[in-house]
Amino acid sequence: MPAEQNLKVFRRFVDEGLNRNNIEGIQAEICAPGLTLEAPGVPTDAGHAQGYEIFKQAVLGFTGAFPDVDCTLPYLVAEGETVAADIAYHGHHEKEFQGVPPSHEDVKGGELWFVEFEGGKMKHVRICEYGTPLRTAMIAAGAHGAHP
Amino acid sequence: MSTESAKNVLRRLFDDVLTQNKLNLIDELYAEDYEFDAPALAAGAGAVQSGREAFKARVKAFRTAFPDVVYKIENIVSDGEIVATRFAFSGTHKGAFAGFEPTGRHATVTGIHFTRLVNGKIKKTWAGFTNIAEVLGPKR
Repeated sequence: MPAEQNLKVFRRFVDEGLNRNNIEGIQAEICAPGLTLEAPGVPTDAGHAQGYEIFKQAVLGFTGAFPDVDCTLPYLVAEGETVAADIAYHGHHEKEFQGVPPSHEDVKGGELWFVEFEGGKMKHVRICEYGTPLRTAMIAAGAHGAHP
Repeated sequence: MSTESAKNVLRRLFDDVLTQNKLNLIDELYAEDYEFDAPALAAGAGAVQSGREAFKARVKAFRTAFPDVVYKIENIVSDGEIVATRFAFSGTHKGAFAGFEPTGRHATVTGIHFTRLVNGKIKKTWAGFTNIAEVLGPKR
């Protein structure tokens, strides 16, 4: 049942890679070496040519900026080699991220992920934000923090 | 609802409503109390809106910005209640769209679209674009 196995891999990514900030420890097990990444802010050509490394750096940048991040999966659908997920998150913004200085406030947001697997590993990843973009939320949190 | 029936609702949305501009189908495919959370297309419009008429206005705004828009479903999965679609739309960017002034370029914008169905009708949508800043923003 590839769908069940792929779901386990994706949940492990969220639990271990995001919530425990350990993408470096598990990436080789969950990501195909030729992973292609499509995500806001990532040039398409670079995301296709160097997706594996960019994926790691993007996750590290996010978990580094939000060290207590708590990601949940309110909606998760898997069929065959595809997993689609709504990732809801919140965490304290403790380091500069996307050019926004830390506010030390709790910031929340949501992303949609559409992942195609190959051989039990994530092979093609597309991401988009929904709701208030994270950068907008960080700026708003900073403004709020400056005027308690 | 079977997963295939659920997907067919979304296929009609992308093919018949969004590409072929059959706005009258919105009353058939969407619940009256429909809600959507997607990038605002016009200045001053919030991301979260509701109702069939608001969605019709959104489709019209899309077509004004991309008069020759064509949608493509790249992949679609469902559990019978939630339908997740990896999509791309292509068209000539002739009007302001989601904060981007018209470029006149033929562009392909990618994204992800989530829908929850209730009694066979679209009750809620939440969605976003992936590469929009790259393809509609200033060329570097």
